[in-house]
Amino acid sequence: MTFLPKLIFWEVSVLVAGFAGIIFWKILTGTMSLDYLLQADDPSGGTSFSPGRAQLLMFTIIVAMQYLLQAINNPTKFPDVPQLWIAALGGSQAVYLAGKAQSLGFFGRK
Amino acid sequence: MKKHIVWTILLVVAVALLLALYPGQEAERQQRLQLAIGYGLAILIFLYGFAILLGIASGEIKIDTLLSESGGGASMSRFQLLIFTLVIALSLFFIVAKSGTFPVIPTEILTLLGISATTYGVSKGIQAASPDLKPKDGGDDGTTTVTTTTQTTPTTATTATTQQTTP
Repeated sequence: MTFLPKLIFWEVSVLVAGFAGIIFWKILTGTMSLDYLLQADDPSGGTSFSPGRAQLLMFTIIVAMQYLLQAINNPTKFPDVPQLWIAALGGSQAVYLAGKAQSLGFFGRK
Repeated sequence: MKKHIVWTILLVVAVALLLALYPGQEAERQQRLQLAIGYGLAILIFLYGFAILLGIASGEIKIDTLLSESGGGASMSRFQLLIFTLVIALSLFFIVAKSGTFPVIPTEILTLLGISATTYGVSKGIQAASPDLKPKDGGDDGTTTVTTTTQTTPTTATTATTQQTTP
C-alpha cells in the first residue's frame, strides 16, 4: 500500500508543476500577454501608468512571496495570515477599483 | 491522441477488474479490490489531467486570453487571482505531501481568496457597465460591425457597400 501514496504524490507534482510551468512559459514568450497590466485609461482617451495597479501588484507579490516562503519553511500547516496583511490587501483592492471606476468614467468627467 | 487515451483507460479498468476478481481468500480479494480501485482511480485521474495539460501545451485548449480584459490588455485582478490560487494550491500540496493528511483550511486563506475573487467580480462589473470602454490593441470593444453589399444591376455589377456599427 505504500507505493500508492508515492504514485499520487508524483502524479500531483507533475500536474501542478506542468500547469504552473505552461502558464509561466506562455507569459515569458508573450503568448499570454501582460501588455497594459500597469496602464489604465486616462481622460484624453489614451492609456497612462496607473499607480493603483502598481501598488496592487506590489502588495500581491509581497504577500504571495511571504506566504509561499512560510509554507516552504514549515510545511506542516497553513501559514498564519496576519489581520494587517488582510487589511492592507483589502485597502489596496479598494484603491485599485476606485481608480478603475474613475478612469472608465463612473465619477463623471468632461 | 484521443484513441490512445481511450485504449489506455480501458486497459487500466480491465487490469483493475482482473486483479479484483482473481480467485483467492475473501480478505485477500477485498484488499486486492481496494488496491485495484485505488490504483485505477489514481491512474485515470492523472491521465485525465495530463490530457488537459497536453491540450493546453499543444494549443488545442487555448488559455492565451486567460489574463486579458474584454477591452484588450492584461487584467490586474485576473493576474492577482491567478497568483493567489497558485500560491495557495502549492502550499496545500506541500502540507499534504509532508503530513499525509488534508489540513484544516484557515478562515484567513478563505478571506484572502474571497477578497481577490470579489475584486475580480467587481472589476468585471465595472467594465461591463462602463460608458467609456475603448478597445486597446487587438481588443474587442463589444460592438458589432455589419457589412452589407448591394448589387444594383446584373450586367454592370455595380455594388454599394455599407457598414453599420452597433454597440
